[in-house]
Amino acid sequence: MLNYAKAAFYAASFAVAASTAQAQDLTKLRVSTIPIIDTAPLQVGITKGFFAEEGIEIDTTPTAGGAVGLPALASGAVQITFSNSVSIALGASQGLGFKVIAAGSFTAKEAPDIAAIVAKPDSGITSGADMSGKKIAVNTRNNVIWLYAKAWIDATGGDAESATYLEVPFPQMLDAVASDQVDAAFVVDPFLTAGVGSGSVTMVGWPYNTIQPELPVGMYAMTEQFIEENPEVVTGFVRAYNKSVDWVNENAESDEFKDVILSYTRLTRERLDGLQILPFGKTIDPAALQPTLDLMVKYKLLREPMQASDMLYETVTE
Amino acid sequence: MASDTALQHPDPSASISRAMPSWRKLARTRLSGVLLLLAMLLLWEVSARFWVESDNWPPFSHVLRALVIERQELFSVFLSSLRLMLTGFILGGLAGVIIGFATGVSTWLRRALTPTLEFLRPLPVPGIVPPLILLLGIDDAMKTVVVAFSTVFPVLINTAQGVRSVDPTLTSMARTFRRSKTQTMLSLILPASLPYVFSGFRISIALALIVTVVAEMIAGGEGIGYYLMTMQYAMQPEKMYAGVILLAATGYALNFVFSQAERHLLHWYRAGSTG
Repeated sequence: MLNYAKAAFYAASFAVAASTAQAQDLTKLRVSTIPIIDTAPLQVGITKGFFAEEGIEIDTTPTAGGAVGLPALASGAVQITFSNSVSIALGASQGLGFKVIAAGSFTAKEAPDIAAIVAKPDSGITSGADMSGKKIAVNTRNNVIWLYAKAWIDATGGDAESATYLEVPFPQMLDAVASDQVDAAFVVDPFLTAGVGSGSVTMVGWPYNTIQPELPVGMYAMTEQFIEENPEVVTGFVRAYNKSVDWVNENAESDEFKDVILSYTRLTRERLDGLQILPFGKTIDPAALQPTLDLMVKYKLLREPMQASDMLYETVTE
Repeated sequence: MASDTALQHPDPSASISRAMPSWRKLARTRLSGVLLLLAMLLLWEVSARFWVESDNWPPFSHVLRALVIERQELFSVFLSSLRLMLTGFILGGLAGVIIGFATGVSTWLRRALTPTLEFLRPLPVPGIVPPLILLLGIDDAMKTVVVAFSTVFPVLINTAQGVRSVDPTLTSMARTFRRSKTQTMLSLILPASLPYVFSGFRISIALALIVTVVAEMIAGGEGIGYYLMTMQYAMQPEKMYAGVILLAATGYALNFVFSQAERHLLHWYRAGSTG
């Protein structure tokens, strides 16, 4: 009883947010996540109780490759999925009713970025113009990495259609380059930092930066149906998530934050200390997302043009 | 198996071994298998230290260290996978025996079911997971069904074959002795097909372990498959290989358990076939 009284006291002291919170009946939300740094604010919000303050209990189901997040969202097995802009847009275009409710990760404002095209130091590849007839590793075909690898080749004087795109999981990309199975790879951290640090590969280009700085890549999606039926839950989730983003941006260097990342990514501390952690955002400007959707039309992932504003729910734009 | 026969017939091999060079003597013993394994592990250690420059190829000694450091987590991770695997295996195995028995006994059922079964059988696990997510979600229910799905076919096919392999003279003898259909099935066809059922189980248990890991890799959350993926993405390959080594040992142990069970339960079959 004492604990309930304590909880009630603390709950009451959280002025506005806590007015809807009741310790006994938290709304349970299942979130499909990927155990990478991009999902750090969500984990912080759970650890620090920001979601609980909104009356929400988060149950994360991580998938390492991220392949099942959107099918799980469509089926109702989870209510929220962290995924990339291209995969969400593809689902939305197929009538699955996906809407982006909260921002996730953005690429860097300027180089160095957390994702880059790499090649062997003696490969002679310096831009997309050198990629003709070459093989490039992407983690999955028809996703954001594949799309921006193509866009980068075209943007730096090459012909995207002249290169071959091979699916290689991120953890194996450096080995694929080192053993000449591919000529280049579009690799992300921590593999990028490790590969460049050991000298086995050099950086050749920053596809995201080349096309557009601070590109929104990772984001949280829900289904329209769930949003319509539970608008307060959605705003509550986003309020808590955004509070977590503020906390992360203010405490990016703190041990408390790093401990959270270490616990769910399983990175070693030395590895994490070597990585660049980019600031997290709370809103997505439709104009910043639109170029990605236009590229999807250009590279035939979408048959018809799509408006970014149609994909973004009000909680992520304002 | 080679070592088993060596144990059963000690005299001839002993007399031959006197005339053989020592390395051939060695090749006949159980020790040779262990030595090959040790040689390969040594090659692993040396290659990781001196030849292969990759973050993904840690020396075997580091893997052993990781195995010790991670023992508690690995234990709980394996426990959750084994529970999933056994549930799927038991469900799939039961279904396999029942459908296999039915199709073995009834020509009509065989004709009706074979096209569907042959159509489903070659479907790869990564191919059936996404549609199953739509039906069953991403939790244990879905993964159990995937494991059961892959387990069912070897058992089913073996069982059906076992039923059909029963000597027709025996079935007509049962008829002569005026045994009812049920009696014939329980006292003749079922025991006679058991060795086939068991070899189906043995194929399936190995398959069930593999499929459990694959399912956990695709739709993660917990278990050994998720552990392997997470450690890959976290650039901790020594922990990943610790999981792989343990996985190999688990597969070996499961097979051992099954062959022991087979030996005890079907001693009459072994005795009959060798004597």
